[in-house]
Amino acid sequence: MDLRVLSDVLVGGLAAGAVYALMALGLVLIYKTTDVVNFGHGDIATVSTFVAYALAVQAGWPVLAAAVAALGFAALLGAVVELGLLQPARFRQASVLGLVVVTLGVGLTLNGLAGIVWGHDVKSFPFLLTGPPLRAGELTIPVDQILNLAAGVAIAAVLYAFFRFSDLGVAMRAVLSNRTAAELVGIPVRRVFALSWALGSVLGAVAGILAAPILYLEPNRMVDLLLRGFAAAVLGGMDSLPGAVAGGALLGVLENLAGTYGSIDLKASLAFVVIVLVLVVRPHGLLGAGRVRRA
Amino acid sequence: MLELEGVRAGYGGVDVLEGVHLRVSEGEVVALLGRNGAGKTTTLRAISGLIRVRAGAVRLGGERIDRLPPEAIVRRGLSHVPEGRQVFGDLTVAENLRMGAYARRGRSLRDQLDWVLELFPVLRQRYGQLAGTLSGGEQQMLAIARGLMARPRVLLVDEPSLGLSPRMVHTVFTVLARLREAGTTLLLVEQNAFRALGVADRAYVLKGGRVELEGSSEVLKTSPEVERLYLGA
Ligand SMILES: Nc1ncnc2c1ncn2[C@@H]1O[C@H](COP(=O)(O)OP(=O)(O)O)[C@@H](O)[C@H]1O
Ligand SMILES: [Mg+2]
Repeated sequence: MDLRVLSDVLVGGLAAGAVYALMALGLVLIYKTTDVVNFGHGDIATVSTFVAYALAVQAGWPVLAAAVAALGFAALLGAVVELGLLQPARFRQASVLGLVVVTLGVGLTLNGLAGIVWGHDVKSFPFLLTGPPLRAGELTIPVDQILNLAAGVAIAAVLYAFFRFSDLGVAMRAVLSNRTAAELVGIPVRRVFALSWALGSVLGAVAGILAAPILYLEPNRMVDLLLRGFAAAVLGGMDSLPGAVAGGALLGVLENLAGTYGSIDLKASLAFVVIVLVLVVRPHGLLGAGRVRRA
Repeated sequence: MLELEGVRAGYGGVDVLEGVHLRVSEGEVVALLGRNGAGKTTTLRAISGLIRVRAGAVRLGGERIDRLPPEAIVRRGLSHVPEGRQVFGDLTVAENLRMGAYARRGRSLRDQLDWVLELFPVLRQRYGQLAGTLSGGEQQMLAIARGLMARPRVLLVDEPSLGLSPRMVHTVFTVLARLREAGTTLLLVEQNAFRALGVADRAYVLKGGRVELEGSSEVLKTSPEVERLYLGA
């Protein structure tokens, strides 16, 4: 086995895996705090990426500024979905399944809107950073891969610190640990729900914006990314943030190994295989708490 | 300090409380007694804002609080230690205590924390441990300690001895007696009527969502109704 090929496969796999991990982190965060699997996650990411596209390509903003504004949009959109749709539904005693269907409806609506506003022709999306690749001995790492890795590591570290040390982060964990007790100590539970939707949507949008230069942009393009995020989340146990990161990294590397040493078809279907296998063999994933709810 | 006037509250369309009147003065320990299903927990939930007060009024230090959400009620100085402890099992003991002071975050917790850990030395030993790994008695200590971290003007405690070993029950009541000596204003719900009357100044007996009986602990201790309650519980 050629070591150079292997290291390319590993680094490339981790770079892709970082994006899956971000996607997965958003899903897990929302699921953990609000009990809802967000099937609109991919479409929220898509529409936010389109907003970045509109600002950067159509309005001529610097691409980084456009990306930041798009993240703000994602936060707002996530909070509006929670406050405007899910909370009224919860107030009327909607079941969790009902809430999940609401997120599916949100996704389909956003998908339709994106098609109406931006059309279905495939658009190219600018890289956030351009420059010469990093060379380390035999290894060359393209700058976009470095950005993915850096973004993945930095965001994971910030989230870790947030949940470990800040009042709000600990309060979010408290809400998901025991909602009634959280209300009793004075944590504004509804606002925490809105915050986790905002934060989760931002993470999805970061993934979308990092992936778009390679994936290109079209209303249905993010489905693959969403499924990989799901696979990473399931692999990590669905309710574990470190698990989501590990799941994303592992999936990225496995995919690259499958593509290099197996076939491109194997690579494309690996995420589904992972989802099915994990759910059948080890439903609480690698790092999940094992409290899998049975229907 | 705490005053309920004709409070009606319940679940779904049904009123469980059918006009509850009670008062707890500053520095007073009051027991709320009654059989299983009498509405004791519901009363506490209505006071702390977990369920809506449909009619009547709840006042804390003279101010109406019956329309406020739970977080606003905690900020005004009322802590509710719920039935069944309800600690944050996935958080450490330290984090549970920190969350107890969420309503006062930004201000120094040092003094309060020192006092609480002195009151519950076992929590100091378990400080970095996940609350879910504590024994039932330790979780009850933690639940009370968490409630105290908010520096409440009034503390509500729901069935703190439920499901505990006799030794732990003894420890819990020792702590309640110490809180009483420290001047804490306390509304205590208990099935264990005689124990509760041992720490309380006064008591109310709830039946079918109304106050059936009230009086000083001394008088109620000898009342046949309380005796029946005790034997029938
Ligand atoms: N969450 C709930 N939903 C519907 N009914 C409830 C609920 N909790 C309690 N009840 C009913 O309210 C009545 C009073 O209950 P509760 O206040 O818990 O009594 P206690 O604490 O005195 O044992 C009981 O008849 C009980 O069945
Ligand atoms: Mg009760």
